[in-house]
Amino acid sequence: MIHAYCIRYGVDPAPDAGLVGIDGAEVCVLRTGKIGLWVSESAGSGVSIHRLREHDKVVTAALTTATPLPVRFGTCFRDEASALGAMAQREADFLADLARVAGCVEMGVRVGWQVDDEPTCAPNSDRQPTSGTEYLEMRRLRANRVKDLKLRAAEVLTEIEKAMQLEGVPVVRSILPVRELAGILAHLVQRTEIGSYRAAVDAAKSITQHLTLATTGPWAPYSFVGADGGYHFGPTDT
Amino acid sequence: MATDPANDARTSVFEGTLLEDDVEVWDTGDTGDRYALVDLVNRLLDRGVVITGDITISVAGVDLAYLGLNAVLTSVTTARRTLGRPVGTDRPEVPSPE
Repeated sequence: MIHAYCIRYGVDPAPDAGLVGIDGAEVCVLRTGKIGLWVSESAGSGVSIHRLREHDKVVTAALTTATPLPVRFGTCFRDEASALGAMAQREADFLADLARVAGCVEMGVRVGWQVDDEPTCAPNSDRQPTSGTEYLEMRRLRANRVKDLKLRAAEVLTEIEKAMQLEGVPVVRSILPVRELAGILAHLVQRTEIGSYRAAVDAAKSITQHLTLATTGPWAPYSFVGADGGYHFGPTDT
Repeated sequence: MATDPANDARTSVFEGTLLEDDVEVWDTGDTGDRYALVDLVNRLLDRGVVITGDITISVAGVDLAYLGLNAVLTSVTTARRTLGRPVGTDRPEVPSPE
């Protein structure tokens, strides 16, 4: 089985000798047309934190020399011919994406918050319902609470976007209805602008002291590839 | 017309009940803080180029390609907590209405 990591231009440098990925297998590149797919042999197909980190390690290695299109974890092929066939089929899409993210990296802000109150408070316990009616009522209360948290998290992320003042920079928001984490903002920034990005986060920190902001990255542009795009240009007015 | 930011098409919203205890399942003895882990999982399982491969990786019997972070975290955690046994060995049980 072949595990796929990322896509780059075919003319980009091959993986460094000795770079290993999942299961300690050496990473190599399969080229077709004008693109190349970084892959390695893989014996298994499990999902674990260790395997996720091994995957990201390879993608990060690719990022050091050129901006790759990271492939979603878990993409595997039976053999090289199959992988090359799938690549060739969408070469034009991948080339367009590569051109769009060239010279950029993904930077992130993890936004922490404290949700002290219990908005529409559903019981958050392991108590088991004693009837079908009670089960449905518990589900309804919990759904209301999560919906409320999502709305509040969205407002918080919009507040951070505005505070960072990164006009025209593509941004993707991930709302996490977690008690201590409002969500994640991902921005696609030029490699030369990483310092400015960190400064923008610092500026946002100074005016959003009720929140905890952590800068992450540079990442490969995980949040800015794929057919649906999915990003907008911040800050937003929503 | 007012828009609902939580349902904005440009925003990824995890539909599961991803609460604090759901995240902890991924922090299985690894060092580093669990929120950094959320960053990693968010990107690797919920982002990136989707290519149709030949082999399907699944979690708890559900194809990974169709799972977002929310589903992975929620279903695995919930299954573990409520069933008290390893996931993927059986289908989740729900209380039967009386």
